[in-house]
Amino acid sequence: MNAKYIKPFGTSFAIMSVGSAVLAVVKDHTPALNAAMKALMGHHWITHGVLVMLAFLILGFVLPKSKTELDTAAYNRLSAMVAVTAVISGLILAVNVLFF
Amino acid sequence: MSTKEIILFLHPTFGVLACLAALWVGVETLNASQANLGRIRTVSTVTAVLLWLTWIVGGYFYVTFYAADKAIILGSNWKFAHDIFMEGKEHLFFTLLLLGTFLPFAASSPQLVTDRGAKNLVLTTSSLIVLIALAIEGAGAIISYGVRVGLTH
Repeated sequence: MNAKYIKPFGTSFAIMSVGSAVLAVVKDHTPALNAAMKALMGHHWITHGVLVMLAFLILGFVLPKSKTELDTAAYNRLSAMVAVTAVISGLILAVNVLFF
Repeated sequence: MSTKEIILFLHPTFGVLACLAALWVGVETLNASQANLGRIRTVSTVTAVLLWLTWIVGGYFYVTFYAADKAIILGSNWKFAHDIFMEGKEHLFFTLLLLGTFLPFAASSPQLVTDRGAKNLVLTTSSLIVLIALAIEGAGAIISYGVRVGLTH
């Protein structure tokens, strides 16, 4: 594992965690999308997971890599981004299952 | 024990082991030194592998066998076990899988022993894995009980 991928994969996590939650909501309220995702891989949830994990890996390798070692502040910004986006994803999913 | 039951029990087993592995990573990171750096990275990778196994095994059960359980739950007065807990669990799991896959990258920092920020990133990631995994294990227990309620009431 190479340390130059820490920042791009952290950023990719932030994008795909929220993206996955948004896709879950959109999919739940768009029968045509749900049906298309089911048709693609046999079950909408399989398509969802494969798309999210593939996009995460691709983004992680495509986003700009760190040219120098990250400093303490950069690591802390990354930690905050990971924590905040994980909480936002959870809240999006909670609101969707509790209120819609 | 049938194949279905073996798969059903392997899913939470891998999940609990992943949760314990993430906790292990967190505790080792609090005391990070040159002596345990290799162990932190190895167990981070083990956490990721266990979460992928949880997904593959749980996913196979979900798409192959869960429809029958879902019908039982939805016919009971524990309908919320599917509507809230399964619907939430099946999608929150992807955040967990993303965190687990990111953990080995976070643990690859060459400054993990010396930089407070590098430690914080691994601690944040491993703590989120533990918390979300526990929440998902709890949701799994509620879903199982929902099936039991549907069969016995």
